[in-house]
Amino acid sequence: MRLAAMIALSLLATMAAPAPSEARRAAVGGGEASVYLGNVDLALLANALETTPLVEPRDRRISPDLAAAWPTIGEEGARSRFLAGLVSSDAGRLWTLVPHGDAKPLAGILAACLSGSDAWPARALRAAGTEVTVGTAGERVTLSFSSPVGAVLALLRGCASPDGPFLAAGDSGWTANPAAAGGRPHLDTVTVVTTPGEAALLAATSGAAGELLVAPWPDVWLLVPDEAAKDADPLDLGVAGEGLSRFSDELAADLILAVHRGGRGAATTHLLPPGVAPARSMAVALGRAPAPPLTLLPLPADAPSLRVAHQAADELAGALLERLALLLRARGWAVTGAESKGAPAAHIVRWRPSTPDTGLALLTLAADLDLPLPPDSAEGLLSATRAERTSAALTIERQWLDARLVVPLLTAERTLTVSPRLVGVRVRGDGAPVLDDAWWVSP
Amino acid sequence: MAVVLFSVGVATVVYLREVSARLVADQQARSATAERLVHADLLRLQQRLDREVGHVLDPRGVAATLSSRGSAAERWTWAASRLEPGRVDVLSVLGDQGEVLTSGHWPASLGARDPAIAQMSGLQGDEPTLLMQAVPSGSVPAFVRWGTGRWGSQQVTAVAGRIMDSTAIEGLRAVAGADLLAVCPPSAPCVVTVAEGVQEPSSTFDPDDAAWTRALRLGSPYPGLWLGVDRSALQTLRRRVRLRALVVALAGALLAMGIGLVLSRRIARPVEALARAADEVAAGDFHAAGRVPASDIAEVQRLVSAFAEMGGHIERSRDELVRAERVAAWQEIARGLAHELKNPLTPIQASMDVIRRARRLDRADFDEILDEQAGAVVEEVQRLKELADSFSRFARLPDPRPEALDPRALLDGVVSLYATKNVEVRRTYPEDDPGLVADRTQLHTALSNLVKNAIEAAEETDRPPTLHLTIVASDPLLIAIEDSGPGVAPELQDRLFTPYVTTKGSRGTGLGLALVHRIAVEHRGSISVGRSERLAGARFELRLPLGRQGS
Repeated sequence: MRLAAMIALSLLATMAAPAPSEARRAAVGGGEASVYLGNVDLALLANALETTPLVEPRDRRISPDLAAAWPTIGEEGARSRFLAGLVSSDAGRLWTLVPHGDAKPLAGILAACLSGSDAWPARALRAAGTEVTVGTAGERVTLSFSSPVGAVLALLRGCASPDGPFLAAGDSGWTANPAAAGGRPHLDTVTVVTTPGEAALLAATSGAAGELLVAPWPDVWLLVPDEAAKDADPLDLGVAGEGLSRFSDELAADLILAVHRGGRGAATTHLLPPGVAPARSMAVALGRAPAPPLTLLPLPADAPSLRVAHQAADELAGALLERLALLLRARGWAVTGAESKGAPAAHIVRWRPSTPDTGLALLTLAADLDLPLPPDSAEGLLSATRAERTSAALTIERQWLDARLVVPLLTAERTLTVSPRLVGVRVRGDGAPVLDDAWWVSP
Repeated sequence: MAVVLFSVGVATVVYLREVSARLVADQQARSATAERLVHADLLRLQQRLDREVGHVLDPRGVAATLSSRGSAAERWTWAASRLEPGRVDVLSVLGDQGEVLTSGHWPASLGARDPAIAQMSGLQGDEPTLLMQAVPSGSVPAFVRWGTGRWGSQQVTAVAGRIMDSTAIEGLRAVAGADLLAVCPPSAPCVVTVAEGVQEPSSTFDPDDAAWTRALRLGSPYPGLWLGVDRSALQTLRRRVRLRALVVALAGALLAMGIGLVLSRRIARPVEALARAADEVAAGDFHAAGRVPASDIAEVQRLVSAFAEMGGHIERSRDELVRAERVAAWQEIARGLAHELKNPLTPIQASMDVIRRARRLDRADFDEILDEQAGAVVEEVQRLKELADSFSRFARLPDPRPEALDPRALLDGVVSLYATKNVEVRRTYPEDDPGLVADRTQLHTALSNLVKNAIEAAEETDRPPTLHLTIVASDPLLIAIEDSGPGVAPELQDRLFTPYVTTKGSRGTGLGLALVHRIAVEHRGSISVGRSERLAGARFELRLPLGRQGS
C-alpha cells in the first residue's frame, strides 16, 4: 500500500511537472557560469550579455507563450521584443517603425546602430555609401535613407537594446539584470576565467569535455595582399582558370585544419562561407599535372621576400603562414613575419561575417578590408529581396577573386564547449554565447 | 725539522697520488657505465624506430591504406598518433622523389623534398644515424632510422627518429650519468650539454680540440656522439699534488737554507774570524788572536780561547826569539867587530914593533922607517875610525818615521848622486805614484848602499856598466836594482846581509847591506839578492809594504 502510494505520487509529480522550457521558469534559478573566452572576443561576449537584439530570428526553442508575445515582423519570420511592425515607402527610402514602447529610446538605439558607430549595420551602410537619418514621428520612428534600402529588417538584426539579461559588475563579471527586456535570466552571475580548467562550465575551446555548440557559419581566413604583392603574384594565382584551385590544393587546408582544429573546417575558394552564401563546390581542375616537390633548402641571400603579417594569437594564421612560406620558397620567395621590419606586403586575416545575409555580409567585408565596390552595386546589395542581394554579392565576390584582391585560404568552425549540466545556451551568428535562457540542471 | 718536514711532504704526496689513482679508477668506471647506459638507450631507440618503420612500410598496414584512400589530413592524423615525445619525434613518409607524403612532426612540409634524402640514399639506415632533420624552425640533429618499401607501385621511404636537441641530449646525459654529452652531426655544429657544476671550457666544442680532451675524457662509441667524464677534479688534484710537492721541497730548501744561515752565523763566522786572525798572526799581528769575537757555542768558544792563548804564546815566543836573535845578532856583530878591530890593530902593533926595533938598533934610516910605519899606523887608525862610524850608524838606527813619498823620485835622486856618465841607467817605473809611506832618510840610506854597490860592481867587468832600475806598484812595493857586474856567488847570497860579510875585500865595512837589511826589516819589508837575467849581474830586490801615514 505504501509502495503504491509512492509510485502514484511519483507519477503525479512527473505529470505535473511542466515542460522543460517552462520548468525553468518555475525552478529556482541561480548559479554562476564561468566562461573561458578562447576564440570569443570579450567585447563580443559583453555585447551578448548586456544587450538584447532588436530583431531576432524565429527560434523554435522559444516557448509558445513567448512566441505569442513576439509576433513575427516582416516576411522572413523575424521576431522582436521592441517592434510591432515596420513599413517602407518612397521606394525604400523611408521606413516607419512601430515600437512596442516609447519611440525615443528606440530612435536612439537605431541612430547609434545605423550610423556613427562601429556596429556592422553602420559599416555596411557606409560601405554602400548610404546615409540614414533617424527620427520620430509621434509614437513612430522613421528611418530616412539617402538611397533605397530594402534590407532594413536584416540590418535591424545587427542592432540591440542595452537592457540585456546581464549587467556589468566589475572586471570580467556580470550579474543578472532584473529589468532585462526578456525578463531576469536564470543565472545569477557570469564570470570570465583565464584557463579552461577553471571554467569547467562553459568553455569556448574544442576538445574539452561537454556539449559542442557550433556557430551558424564559420570564420574565414583570407590573404590580403597589397598592390605590389598582388601584381607580383608569387603564388601564380593569375593562371587562368586554375590558379586559385591549384593554390588551394597546394595549401592543403584540410591537413592544417586537422592539425589545429580537429578537422572542423574546410578548404575554400570563396570569400563568403557556407551559411552566409549558398554552398558552392570548389573547382577541381581535371588532368592537372602533379606539382613538383617543394624544397626545404635555404634560399640565396638575394631572393625576393614577402613580409606577411597576422595576429600573433591566431594559431591557425600561424600555421597558414608556415605553409605559405613553403609554397613561396618553392617559387623562390622568402617569407618573413613579424620579426622583420617594414610594412607588411600581405596580411592573413581572420574574418567572420556578422550577418548571414549575403549582401550585407559582403558590404561588411568591403568595409572591413576596404575593398572597392562597383558603382551602383549598393542597390542590389541592399535590395528588399534576399535573392537579389545574394546574386549581387556573389557577382562582386567573383570580381574580387578574379582581381586577386583577396585570396581565400580556409574556413574553420567557431565552436563553444558547454558543460553538460548547463542547458539553454545558444550561439549567436557572431559566435558569442547567449545565456539569457540558460540554467543549471542537477547532476 | 727539515727531515720531518720532508717526510711529511713525501707522505702527503704519496697519499694524494693514491687518491688520484682511485679517482682515475672511479672516472673510468663512470665512463664505462655511461657508455653502457647510452648504448642500451640507443638500442631501445633502434628497436622502437624499427617498429615504426615497419609499420609504415607494411603494405597491408594503415599507412599504406591511407596512402591510396586517405586524405592528407587522415594520413597526418595517423602519423601524429604514432609519435611519442622523447622517443619518436620524427615520423615521415617520403615518396620516390623524396617528397613528403605525410609528416607527423611537421605536417606543413607536405609535398616538400626532405633535404636528408640525399644522405639517406647514400647510407644504410639499419642503425640510428645522426642526421640533420628539417623542422619548422630550421634543422636539428636527430637519430633517424629509415627504410624503403613499396606501397603498391609507389616506392616510399619511411623515416623515424628522435630529435637530439639540447633538451633531449641533456636528458640522455642525465640518464647516463655522464658529465658531458655532445652530438656532432655531419656538417653542423655540435650540440653540447654538461652537468651542473662542471665547468664548461670556454672554447667551442670540437672533438679534436685538445682543450676539451684535457678537461673531459671523451669516447666515441657512436659516430657523432661523444660522452665525457669530467677530469677537472683529477687534474686539479694532480696540480695540487705537484704544487704541494713543490711547496714541500721549497719549504725544506728554505728551512735548510735558514738552518744553514743560522749555523753559519753561529759556527762558520767564528771559524772564519779565527782563520782571519790566524792569517794576521802569521803576518805578525799577534794581538789579532785576542780580537776574535766570542761565541755562544761552547766548542767554538774553547777554540777561540785556545787560539788566543796560542797567539799569546807565539807572541811571547817571538819576543823571546827576537831578543835571542838580537842577542845572537849582537853577539855576532860583536864578534865581527872584534875581528874587524883586530885587523887594523895587528899592523899597528907590528909597525910600532918595527919602530922600537929600529930605535933600539939605532938604525940610520930610523926617520924613514918612522915615516913609513907611522903612515901605516895612520891608515889603520883611519880604518878603525871608519869602522867605528859605520858601526855607530848601524847601531843607532832610529825608529822609522814614515811619510808619503814617491819612490821613483827618491831612487832617481840616489842614482844622480852616485852614477857617473859612463854608467847607463835604465828604468822600468809605473806611470802613477805607487803611494809609498816610509822613512825617507832610512830609505835613502838603503837605496844609496844598493846603488853604490851596483855601480861599483858594474864597473868591475869589461862590459859597459849598466844599471836597470825597476819599481813595481804592488803591495808590498818592489824596488829592483840590477847591475851588469860579476854577480854574487850563490854561497854568499844567504849571508850577504849578515854584518861584516862583504864582497869588496878590504874596501868594504861589511855593514852596508846589513844596514839595508835592517832598514827593510824595520819597515816590515825584505831584501833579497839573485841573478839578473837581463844584465847577467846581480839583482837586489827590496820589498816594502806601501803602508799608511801614521802606521
